[in-house]
Amino acid sequence: MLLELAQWLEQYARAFNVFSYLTLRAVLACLTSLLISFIVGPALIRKLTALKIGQAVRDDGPQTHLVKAGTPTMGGALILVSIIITTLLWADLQNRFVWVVLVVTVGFGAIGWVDDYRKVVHRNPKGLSARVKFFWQSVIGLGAAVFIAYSTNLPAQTEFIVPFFKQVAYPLGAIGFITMTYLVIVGTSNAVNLTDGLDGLAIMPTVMVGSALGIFAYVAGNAVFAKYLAFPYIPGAGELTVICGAMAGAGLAFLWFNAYPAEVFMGDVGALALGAALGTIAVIVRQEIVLFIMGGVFVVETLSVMLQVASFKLTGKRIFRMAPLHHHYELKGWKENQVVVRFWIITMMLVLIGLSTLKLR
Amino acid sequence: MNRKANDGVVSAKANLLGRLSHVALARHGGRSQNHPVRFWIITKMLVLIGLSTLKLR
Repeated sequence: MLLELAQWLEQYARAFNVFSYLTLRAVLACLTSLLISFIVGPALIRKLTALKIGQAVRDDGPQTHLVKAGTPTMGGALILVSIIITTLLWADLQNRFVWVVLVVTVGFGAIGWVDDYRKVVHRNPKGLSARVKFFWQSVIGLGAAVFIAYSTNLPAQTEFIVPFFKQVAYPLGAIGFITMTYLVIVGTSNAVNLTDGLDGLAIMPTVMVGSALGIFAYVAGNAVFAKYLAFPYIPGAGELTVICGAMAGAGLAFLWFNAYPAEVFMGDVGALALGAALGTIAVIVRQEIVLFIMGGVFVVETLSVMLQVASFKLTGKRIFRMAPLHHHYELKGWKENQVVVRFWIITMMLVLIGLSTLKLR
Repeated sequence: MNRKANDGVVSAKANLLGRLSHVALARHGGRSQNHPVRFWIITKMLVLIGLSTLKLR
């Protein structure tokens, strides 16, 4: 909206031309979503506390987590509201990629919302059944995949890009692309959700990976940079930089309230939505493998759960003291803060490796 | 014995100071353990504002 306004005002004052620059709008989107979350956050936490929308803590989890019972949850709604308002303000609303990411984010947020609502308000510990949750995730994921597949103009927009190798790119075809897109969106969404088990553990890696994807989106959407760095040029992908900026700002502001000891948890409404948003952006900018590298913490947390379940079912023995992995380290004696900050540091290193693929190819 | 007693007094004083500083921080807006992360967030905001001067000039 503000972009259109600035473009209209440009005829009266040339200075408004500055708002047509993506980089500036991304920075302003970040600051805007930070501001919105800081203003709305305290009121939302008070409201959630008053409504007694408190997190139920799993009784088979680490004993140190029992004190967290009753901490308000569903704070992810704050992140979603900030991202949506900011994107509507600063992004180019004619861009189809912006709408795809927004719809997927809101859709997965809605699934998480229903799940949280049933768990917390209806006191139904199961929430939304795994089957129903997966069904709706699949509907939205497949819908987005089909839309992106059939709205692409260039073959490069559906190729499978292998990082570190300039010449290696596999044409996926429509079916391959739709399958890949679906798996990445649904997989990332659930991976972030599994990681969201300690104060600040999920949000900071999301901010870091989201910011890095913003750089990839900027490069992919810029013909000059894409050609220089031997990237596939994807017209319109640059606008996703604004959403990444909004995500980073909203995430950082949420961290303000979610840092140990947390005043609010994001719940499924935040975790599922943010994961799905990361997956969708990575697919659009053709960086699925880079997302896999940068989101290594999400990947390892998910693998730990899969391995633990498989091992227990097959051999009756557990590989980890507890899954997901962050609980394993807690039971090994690491303090919650240590686990969280060390996982942040690992993510920072992985993001740097991911960013190095911009040039190392 | 005297040395032990002295050590006890010193550690009690340290405990009291620790508690007082914790209380002081808490009075000034929340739980003290939050503060490092919140200072990082403020730094990130300032860095962003700094980066925006690349274009806003």
